[in-house]
Amino acid sequence: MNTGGNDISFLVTVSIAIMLFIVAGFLFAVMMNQRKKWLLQKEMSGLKEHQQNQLIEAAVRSEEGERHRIAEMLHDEVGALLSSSRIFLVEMNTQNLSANDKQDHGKVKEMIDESIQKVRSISHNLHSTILKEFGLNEAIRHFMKKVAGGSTLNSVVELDEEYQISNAETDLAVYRIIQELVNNLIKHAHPRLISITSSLKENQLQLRMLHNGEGLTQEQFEELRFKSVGLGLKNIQNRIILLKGTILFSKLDNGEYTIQLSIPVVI
Amino acid sequence: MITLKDIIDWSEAWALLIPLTFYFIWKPKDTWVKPIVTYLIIAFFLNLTADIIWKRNSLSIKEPIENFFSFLYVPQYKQVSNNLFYNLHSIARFLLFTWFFYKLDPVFFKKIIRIVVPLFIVFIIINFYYFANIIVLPNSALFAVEAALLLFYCILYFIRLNKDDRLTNPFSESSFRVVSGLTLYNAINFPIFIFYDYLITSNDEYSEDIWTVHNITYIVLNILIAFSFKK
Repeated sequence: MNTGGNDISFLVTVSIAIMLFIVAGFLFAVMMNQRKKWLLQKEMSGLKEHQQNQLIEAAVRSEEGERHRIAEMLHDEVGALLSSSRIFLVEMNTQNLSANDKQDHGKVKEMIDESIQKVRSISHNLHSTILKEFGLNEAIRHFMKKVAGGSTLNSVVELDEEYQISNAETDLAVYRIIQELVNNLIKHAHPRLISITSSLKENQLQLRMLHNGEGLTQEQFEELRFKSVGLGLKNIQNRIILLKGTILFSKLDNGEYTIQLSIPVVI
Repeated sequence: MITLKDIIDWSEAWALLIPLTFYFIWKPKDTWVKPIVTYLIIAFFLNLTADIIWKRNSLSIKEPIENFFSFLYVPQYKQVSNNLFYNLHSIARFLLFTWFFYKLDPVFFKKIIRIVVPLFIVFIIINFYYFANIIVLPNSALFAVEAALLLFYCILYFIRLNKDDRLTNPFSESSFRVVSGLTLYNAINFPIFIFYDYLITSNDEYSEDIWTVHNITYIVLNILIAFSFKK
């Protein structure tokens, strides 16, 4: 072996060691830098999401506050005025009235009765006292009974009795989602049957709505909620985000549609 | 009796089967996978042929190999040489990894590739026309230029990664694993490539030992390519 060959061998060995050191250091630095950037970005997106959730929460709270205020005003002021008017009307002496006037008096009384019913119904819709007093299951049953009453729509409600009030705000949000979904179904899907079932599994409230109208698939839901017209769907999505739950629209093989909600609850 | 050295000597061929196996298991769909898989297949056949020629004595197939590859006979060594396959492998590796970088980000790499590839082709023509015989020796100039250019692409990739705001975890970025493996392989082997034709003629024992380093980094490169196929 010649000396030149030995020198080159030494040079190559040292160069390999240096290159290994440089590359390992370089790759480590790149990875650490990228990781640092990635963690920062993750933190930023977490903060952004948190801020977005806070905004949604504030919007939902203010909407609920406004609903409560309107419900109270309707019930306490308009409702009270209508009730007083009815008392005056009932106490009116109708003996001296002509047959025509008596008929008009009866009609006015009927209209005031109907108005009182309507005001009460709107007020309850805006702020469900049943939900507050008897919980989510009872509120859904009452709501579905009211929706189906006097129409061709059939409703079936089978709810898991194990579920009791977990959190008033969660219950209210779930109730509003059901309200919005059912109202949307009646308005757009025209079903003849709506069935609502629920089950409680591992701190997850599973709600399933089945109907035989012209429903939505998940793709259609995603598309509609980004359109300015889909305000109701946006509200549903916002409440789902707040509840950290999921919503899934699907079409069954028999042509019926389902909407599945999965909401984490603390019992 | 198969020794550890035998296993490492053959690693240029079997190491390529690691990523190819995982490719068929995981079936990755990324656009950059095609050039890599093409490289793995071509490299497998070139390296397998080179290793069979190299190990023809221990495999007891000296005569049929020398007859079959008689066009590779080198008069001054009085035997057939496998260096053509190493030189072809080097050219194929450069071109296919260029295609890989192009697929990774066509906008970013397009201009650079348009300059680098013609220069590399001109270099190959001049190098093998005037200075070296593609059959006789593994060409240090070719290997070193190829390694330097691939390292240049790798550095550009890291610069691009650093500028990219749409960042994901680098450990989960599959192309990152390929480029890391390629950087490691080319940087460590660069000094070997520069002096390899000198070492092979002046210090044969050392050149054989140092090729083991090359083979180990090649195994690492293939393992990282295999991992890059996993989502």
